[in-house]
Amino acid sequence: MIPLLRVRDLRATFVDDDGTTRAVDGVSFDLDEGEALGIVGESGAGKSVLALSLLRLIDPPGRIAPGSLVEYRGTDLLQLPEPALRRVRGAEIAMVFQHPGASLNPVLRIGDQIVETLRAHRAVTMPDARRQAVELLDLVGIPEPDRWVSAYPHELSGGLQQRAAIAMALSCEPKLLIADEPTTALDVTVQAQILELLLELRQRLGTALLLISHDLGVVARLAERVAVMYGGQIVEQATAAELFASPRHPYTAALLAAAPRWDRKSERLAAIPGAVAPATRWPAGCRFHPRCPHAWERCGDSPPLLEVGTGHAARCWLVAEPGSLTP
Amino acid sequence: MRVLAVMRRDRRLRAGLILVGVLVTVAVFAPLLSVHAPTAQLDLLTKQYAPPSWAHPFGTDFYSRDLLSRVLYGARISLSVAVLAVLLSVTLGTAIGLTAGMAGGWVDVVLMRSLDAALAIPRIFLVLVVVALWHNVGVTGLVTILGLTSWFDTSRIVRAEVLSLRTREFVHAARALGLSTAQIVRRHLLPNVAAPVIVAATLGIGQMVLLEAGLSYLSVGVRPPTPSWGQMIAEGQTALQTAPWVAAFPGIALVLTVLGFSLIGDGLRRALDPRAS
Repeated sequence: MIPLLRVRDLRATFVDDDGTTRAVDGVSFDLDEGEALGIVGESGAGKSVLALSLLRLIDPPGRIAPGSLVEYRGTDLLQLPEPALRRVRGAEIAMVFQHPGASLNPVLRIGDQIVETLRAHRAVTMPDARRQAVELLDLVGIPEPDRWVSAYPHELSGGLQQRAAIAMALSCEPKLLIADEPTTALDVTVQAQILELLLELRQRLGTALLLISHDLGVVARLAERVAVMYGGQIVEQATAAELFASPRHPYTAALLAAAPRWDRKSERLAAIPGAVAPATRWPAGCRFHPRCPHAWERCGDSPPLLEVGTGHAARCWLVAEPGSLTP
Repeated sequence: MRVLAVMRRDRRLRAGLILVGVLVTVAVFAPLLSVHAPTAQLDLLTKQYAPPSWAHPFGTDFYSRDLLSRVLYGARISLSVAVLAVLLSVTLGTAIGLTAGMAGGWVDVVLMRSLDAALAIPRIFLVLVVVALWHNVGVTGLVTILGLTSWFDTSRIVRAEVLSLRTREFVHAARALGLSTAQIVRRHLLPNVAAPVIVAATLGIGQMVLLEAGLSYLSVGVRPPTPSWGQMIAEGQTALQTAPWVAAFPGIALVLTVLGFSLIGDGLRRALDPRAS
């Protein structure tokens, strides 16, 4: 079975006076129909650029390096002419952004924005599109949808705005939803509600999900598989259960140790020493080794993604050492 | 809705609206309101420079024409020239600003630098040169010339707005949902640049009335005998000491018009700018 989305060696660079920023540097992954893949990492790891690159949405001076491949159902999106790509955006692959308030046009009514997306992809009459807009608002759990459909974005709370943005993204029944930090800008209680909604919608519609977040808890809740990004690369990927139970990359282990947990009381949270290097100057070899407690002489060479078990790989030399301890 | 509420409370804006409302009514109903034809020379022997009276509330001029009628008809010319010229300039300015802002790169550089060059020439000279090269400018010609030489500011405003809007997340979101550039411009950029453009246009009408009056005063604008305020002021200038009303009444009309549009423009700016309240 061919995967819904096949990404191979995706590289996105930004060239400016400071040099070349390799924001996404050789990312590969597969995503099956209906599957949920989480991508976690710190700020600056390249998660958002990765999300935007998939739909070729990065603006100059950003560009996707030749040799990158983003295949959706067997079609390379990176080679597609603009009009054909527009038919994929929104209709096949849709996106939800971090700031729900900012991703809605302040001067257009909620309903009009949904109608606009519908009419961009489908031959629907105005009354039909309006009716569908109300149904969509109902689907994403907005109470009194026929009232909110004619509201302006600023009249909605952050949670309702994100629901409306999700309704807009789902309007043409995409096969894949890319959610870039969909809950980060929201209150904790509203976060939980939006996560619940995404979970429920996925079960109901069978939409595949690419969830991008810095929050391990969010990813753990929604994703079946998780890829950890550091320095523009995937450093570890595994099923969610396995990754959280037995991380094999020291960075993943450090991230997990740094996350607050209710069952570990009154300890100081473990912080990862140092900071992410600027993307113009990645350290040679393993990009994490200057911050890694387990660094040794081999870390001066770049490790490849090494297979640990079925579907579990880590970009760390320790993995290849027979008898080496799990970090 | 907030905009309307702010507008209702704004007294200066209301004053401007009343002023302009009266002017527009006067201009539209000029034929009904005036007793005499604006170009009729009533009696060159006895009614030359007649002072204001019940028969001629604004007095008469050198050719014994009724000044009230001329001021009323002058409102028609001044307002229609100004409004049409502003419409032309706003349309052009918006289109050029959008193009520069969206295209970026060398298109933007070429457009904006030629605009800087055009702005370096004072507008009145620019218009004078064009008018001088163009024999027998009619009202249509005047509107065209004024419109073509006054879109610079609008295009700058629009370009600046577009540059900031196109980096906003909702524009990215619209692109991510498969909208074309044309759809994004029409549905997402234009409605967002409308507010500053409307403000600039309203203030622009006042400026345009002045500019037209200036040209007519220099006798390169509206040609006699068609009444225009600027031209009437020029005619009254020679008799300023003996018959001051000839220049005074069109002058007052001019001041009130510019004032009215400025009040509306500033009021709209206050109402549309969320930071102002």
